Amino acid sequence: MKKKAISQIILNIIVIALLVVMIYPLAMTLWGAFKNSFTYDQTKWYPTLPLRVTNIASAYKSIKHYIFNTIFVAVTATAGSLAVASLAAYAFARMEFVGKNFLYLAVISLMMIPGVLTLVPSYVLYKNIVGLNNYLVLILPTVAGGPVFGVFLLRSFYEGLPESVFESARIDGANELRVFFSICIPMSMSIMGTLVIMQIMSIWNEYLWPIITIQDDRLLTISAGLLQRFSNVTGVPNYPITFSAYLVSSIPLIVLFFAANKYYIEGLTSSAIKL
Amino acid sequence: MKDEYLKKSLGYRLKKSIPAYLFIAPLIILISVFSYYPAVSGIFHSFFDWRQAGEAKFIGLQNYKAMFQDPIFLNSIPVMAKLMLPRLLISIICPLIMAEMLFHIRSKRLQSAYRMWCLLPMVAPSIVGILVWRYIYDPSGGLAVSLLRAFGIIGANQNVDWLGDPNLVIGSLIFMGFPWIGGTSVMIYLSGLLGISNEIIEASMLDGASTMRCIFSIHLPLITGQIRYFLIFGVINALQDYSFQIVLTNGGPGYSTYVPGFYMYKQAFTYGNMGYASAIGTILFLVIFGFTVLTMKLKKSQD
Repeated sequence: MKKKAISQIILNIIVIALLVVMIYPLAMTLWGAFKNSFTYDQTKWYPTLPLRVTNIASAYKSIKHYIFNTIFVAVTATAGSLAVASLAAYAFARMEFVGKNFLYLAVISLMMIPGVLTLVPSYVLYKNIVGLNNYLVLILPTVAGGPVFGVFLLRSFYEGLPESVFESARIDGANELRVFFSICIPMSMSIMGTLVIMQIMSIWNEYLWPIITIQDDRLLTISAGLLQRFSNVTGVPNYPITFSAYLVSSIPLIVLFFAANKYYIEGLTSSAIKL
Repeated sequence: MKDEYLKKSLGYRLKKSIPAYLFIAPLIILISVFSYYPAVSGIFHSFFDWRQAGEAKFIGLQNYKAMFQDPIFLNSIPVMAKLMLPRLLISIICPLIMAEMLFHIRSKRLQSAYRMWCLLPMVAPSIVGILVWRYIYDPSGGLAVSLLRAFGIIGANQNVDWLGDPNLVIGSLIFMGFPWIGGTSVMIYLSGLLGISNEIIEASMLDGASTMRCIFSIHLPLITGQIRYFLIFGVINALQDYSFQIVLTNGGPGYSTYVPGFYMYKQAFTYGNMGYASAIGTILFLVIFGFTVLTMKLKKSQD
């Protein structure tokens, strides 16, 4: 028995050591964000006091417009994509119509089309019909492309709901739209939460499309803004301010993580459901 | 009820279908315009001389011919293989080892704390996760160089240009993310392992099977689903990923980190050769598509 206890201790030590090594680079930016830029270079490997909270304020000032842009884009795009996805998923799950299987296959097949094929022609298409340098060019791709996985996920969820619930609503004379809003939407709040988190995360992390389509710094979203502002600096960068900006850009995700922990983890892991 | 429905005339069924069509109309219109059209347009325009400005001109297979005589493109394929294969193996094996270790942690409280810890990097934007490596690889004051100095492997004033030296850059990019256990992969493996019924594991313990034996003959066969998932999506992502090039190397030094996807990006958005870029995109699509069909066939024949 004693041998087992020792092996448990060793196992825990190895695991903790690996986790420390993994998190160290991010931890370095975390305490680096609160350092004085003159003494940063001598003390960068470990946290020090006092915390210079003013770094955060000046970093916030320089990136706050990116954050508000991202929140605006994320909210509108996610709402649009969920509306489109849930309506279609309801029809595919609960209604009979001509060409249903074919149309469903046409939607799902889009998962097989890689972004690398559509990037260049999409850029030309958006340039011609909605123009560059506006919010719409950031929002529309998520409203148009985001629902595919949503339809897939929501359809199987709606199909799993018991038929009796729908029957009784229809007998009461509710039309399809009414059934959809009064039954499907309330019952699928949890899975919608997961989809919301997935969409927000992907918008928060997107930088390729914004740096291609947006030249105006005032319209950039957060990841693209961080890339443009802090990666092509000439001369010695101000590390504490840069790291403060990284920290500020993570705060909304941290809030989301603690506020919606359950959906967050499901959102992160549900890409595995695809298989 | 369904049979009855199918007996009705097509006209009647179409009329009955109208409400459903209204439900799916927004989706169908959006994906036709913004997803199917670009895909078709990409393949179509790969046969054109298509520039940022002006009319596209049909040139047949010229783009494809040029591509296979283009030394930069030809060189980008082995570069991709050198980057992708090690990273793919690492991304499958390391999280699995970590998940096995977490699985054997007896205390459930510690186990779930470690799991959360693994997810911690996900609260930073993924671009920050890449950008911090710029500071780790800083030639004169970065973490990597400082560690080598501390262990006396290089001299106290010696610098190493991790991302700027063509002999080192591939290795540096492969090493990024060490020890490769942050993120969701560990969680996905671990939930697979925790899903294995206790009876199987207890029975093997009673038979006196060692931990290693247990892992190889019970765990691995039961989580092939997860391994296959990481393999398939890992390959598909690796074929089209060029985030390191965008964020860190810009394809350099020279052309030493150019991969086909990044070359496509450069051709389109730096040089304005939309047609040539579309041809590269089409080739990548065909490779990815072929790979997907192959894996689906393999899976069917296994089931």
